[in-house]
Amino acid sequence: MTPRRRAADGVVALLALGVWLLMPPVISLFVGPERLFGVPVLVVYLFGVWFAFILATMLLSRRLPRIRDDAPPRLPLPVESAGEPRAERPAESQGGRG
Amino acid sequence: MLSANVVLFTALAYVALLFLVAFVSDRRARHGWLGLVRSPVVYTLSISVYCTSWTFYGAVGSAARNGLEFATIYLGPTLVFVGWWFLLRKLVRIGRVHRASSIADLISSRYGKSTSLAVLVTIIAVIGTTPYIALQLKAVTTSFQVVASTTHTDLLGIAESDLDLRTGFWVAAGMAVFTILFGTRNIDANEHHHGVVAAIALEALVKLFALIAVGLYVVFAIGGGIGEVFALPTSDRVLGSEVFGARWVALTFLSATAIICLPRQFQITVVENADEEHLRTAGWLFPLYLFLTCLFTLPIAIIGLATMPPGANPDMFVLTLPMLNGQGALSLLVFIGGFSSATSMVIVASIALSIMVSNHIVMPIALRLPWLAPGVSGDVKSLLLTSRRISIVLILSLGFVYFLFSARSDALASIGLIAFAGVAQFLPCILGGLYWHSASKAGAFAGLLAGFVVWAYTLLLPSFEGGGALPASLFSEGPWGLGLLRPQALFGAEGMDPLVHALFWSLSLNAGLFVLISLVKEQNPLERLQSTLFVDVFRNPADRESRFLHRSAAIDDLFVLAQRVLGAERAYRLFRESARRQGLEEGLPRPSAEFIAQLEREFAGSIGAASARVMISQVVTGETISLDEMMRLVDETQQVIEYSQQLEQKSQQLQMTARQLREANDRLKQLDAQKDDFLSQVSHEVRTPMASIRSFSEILLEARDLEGEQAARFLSIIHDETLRLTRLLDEILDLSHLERGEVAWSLDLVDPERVLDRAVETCRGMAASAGARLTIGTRAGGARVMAHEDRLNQVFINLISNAIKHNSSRRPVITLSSGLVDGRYEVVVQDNGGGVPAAARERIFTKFSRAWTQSRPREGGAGLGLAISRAIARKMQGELELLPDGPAGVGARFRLSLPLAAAAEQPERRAGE
Repeated sequence: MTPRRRAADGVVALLALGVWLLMPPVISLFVGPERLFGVPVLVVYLFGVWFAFILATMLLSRRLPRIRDDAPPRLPLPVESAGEPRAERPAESQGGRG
Repeated sequence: MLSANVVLFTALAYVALLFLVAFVSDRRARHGWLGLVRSPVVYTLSISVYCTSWTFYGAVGSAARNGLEFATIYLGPTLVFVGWWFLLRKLVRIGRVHRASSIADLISSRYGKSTSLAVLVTIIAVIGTTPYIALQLKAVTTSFQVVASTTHTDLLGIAESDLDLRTGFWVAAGMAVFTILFGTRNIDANEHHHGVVAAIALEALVKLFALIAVGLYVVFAIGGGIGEVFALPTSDRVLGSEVFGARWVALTFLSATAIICLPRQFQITVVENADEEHLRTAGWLFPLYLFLTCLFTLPIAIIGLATMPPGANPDMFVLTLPMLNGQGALSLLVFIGGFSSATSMVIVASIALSIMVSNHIVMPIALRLPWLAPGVSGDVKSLLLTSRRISIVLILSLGFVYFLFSARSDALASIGLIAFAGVAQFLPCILGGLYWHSASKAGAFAGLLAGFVVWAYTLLLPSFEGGGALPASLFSEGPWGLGLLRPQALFGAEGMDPLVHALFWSLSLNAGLFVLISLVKEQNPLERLQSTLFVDVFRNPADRESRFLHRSAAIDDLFVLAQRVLGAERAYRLFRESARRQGLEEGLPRPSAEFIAQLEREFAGSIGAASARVMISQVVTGETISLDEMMRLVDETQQVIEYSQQLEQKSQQLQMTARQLREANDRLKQLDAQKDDFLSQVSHEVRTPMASIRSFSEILLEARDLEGEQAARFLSIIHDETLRLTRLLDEILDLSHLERGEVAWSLDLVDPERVLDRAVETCRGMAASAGARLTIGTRAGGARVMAHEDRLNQVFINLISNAIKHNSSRRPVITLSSGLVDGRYEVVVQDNGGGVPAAARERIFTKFSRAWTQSRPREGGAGLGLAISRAIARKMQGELELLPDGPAGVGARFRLSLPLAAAAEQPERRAGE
């Protein structure tokens, strides 16, 4: 398993974890009068999970393979290049299907 | 308090700024200087068109009423963007490859470029979006009146009856102008509106900045710190409500769906996407934007509830809180922020809808009207632009009219979620279209229609309840008194939250019908082609299309068509570019299937896939049949591959069998030759003694006066020769018996050493007469083998007599030795003669070989001895072989080896003896 493929699998795992953490019954566990730094635990939990989620995505996204651009050549705009040589990368195309 | 003029002036100045930004960006993009506009950050900011005034003002209202529930609207999109690698990347790729100009175009293109599907999607999108536009108009109107109000009572929120509808009108008119100016300047190759995107991105920054500013002010200036805010009693009220139920799940799901299915989100995320790599940044930056947007929602709601006079509208807390505290500048900023969020939504939504209306409703009609018909004969490009401009005006007018009639009721308050649920109906056919090959047009159409009808009936209709237009009995007793069909308790499903109820029934019916009909109804060839191109988009680039779809057309017709759809200049550039790629120096390109497919995609970027197909079909000939064939080919390819693999296996097996047969044949031929040899050898061997017998008997017959002594000698010769003949025939019989395995010997436990001694004694006489010396080398001592004693003796004698007879040495010495090696008993008979010539080594064991005795034919026997000996040895599971040449002075060495009898057998055999 290549590191890049692992990153794609990591995204799936992260998503599953996110849904698990943010949906009842897990999130309901944090309902209560307890406070952290004066803020209800529920609020800290929700925003904390949310933020951690963003950070994890940022780190994971960097490890995902580069997106190979093989869309058909655009209309001849000066900045666009037509028909760049492109290499087939199996790991990536599989990620697309996963 | 701010005067209305100041507010108006600020708003106008802000709008002027937006125009300027859009204008400059558009100009720069035109000159190929895209720079900042094409950066991932701008892309991300423009996606935040998701946060409308419904977010800006409404989130706090929602928090004040339902606590944390507001967060679900932002958690769903967060989840979708975190998983961008799987869904959004594919969506954007497909959108780019197939030049999808709108969500309706994408769906129609996927399901065989269907016009009817595109129309249905467009209608649903218009119905779902118009009230949403009205909601924005209302928010701007209300906030304008609040911020410019002079009385304190207005801070409670403007009563619906006091709304000044003129503000709404001017906002709608201004947005129409902006959208027409920057949204329909031209029909871009990729539907990119750089000016609009730049303006939207700026607005995204403004609204986020305003929200954070007011949040910081409220928390730290009014509330006195985070801890203090949550210590307020209203905090418990806000957080006290139990929200983590079915509605929490449903709302999260719904918002995740909306970020994919909302026409304006599709427009920004997919159509306006300049580079797929931008998703990598948007994947975390957009969730971060949402996170920051929501950060202060709860504190503002708590403080608003705690400090505002009772009866104040929580939806306006964001604006009224700073106003109540005399923060004029801050309230103006908030107003501009709210204005931004409303206008950006209105602009993008009306662009997206106008593209859909012009491409999927106006174009198909124009193509079918006889007097416009050859949509081909008119200037399609200007028709498109005009129809888009008119659509924008119409859509905004529709929004304004909706606002006009509903502004005074509170029907708009819930319209945000209702619109979400409406566009959520697109989800099954989008997901199915992206990941399921068999998803068919019929299924998508039926599912969409059913979902839409159920949504309208269970969610949209009840939102008009109390407006007077509908009888109350419809809701309490159902239509015609049918209780099962009550809009909010369909099939008796009572007690559910109305939104969850509507979502459940509409989506389950939608998805159910979609799957069911897709399974039942066969796809047509074009649908199958498109489904392959969509589902396997990462494996099949769109130019694969031309391999399956063979068409031809006159290049002139195509050029005329292209000029009308794309405009003269773009058409020219496109044709030149293609000609150059085909290797043509000048003139028009060849109308290859590839080129036609590319042209159709270019058209699709402007007028939608369905219309593009209709237009291309008008000048193209000979398509359908070959498409049928090619599609069959696609399916058959897999089978062909399997068959060819099987064939290959079979042919390998056949080759192997043929080789074995050839080998067997060779062996048979060899045996046949051996048999012939054998026969001629036998005749030869028999003939020699027969000849002498005949000649001597003739002498005896003719010469009657022969002396008795001489006659006796002749008779003895005859006798000897007959003996020799008999011996020869015996040997031949013996050998053939041995070889055919017909001899039934009983193998007994034998001491081979004893047999060897006997054989040596037998040969002593023969050795003495030949002047040879027999020496005994090392001996094995005791050994037991399973053998036939006499036959074993025969082998030993044969070996020894051969060594004596064929020894060419002047002083012949024959050495016998035996031993036990690896569980076998071995006897080696060695002489000091010239050895066996290398060429004859293999032959000596064959019949009548007498290989090394050719020079002295009379000395040997029939040449069957070694063949018989070997046959005997093999019969006893042993082997007789000629050892490789030894050192000089050592002649031929023959070795007989026999397996030692198994230890267990010995006592048994002895007992048997």
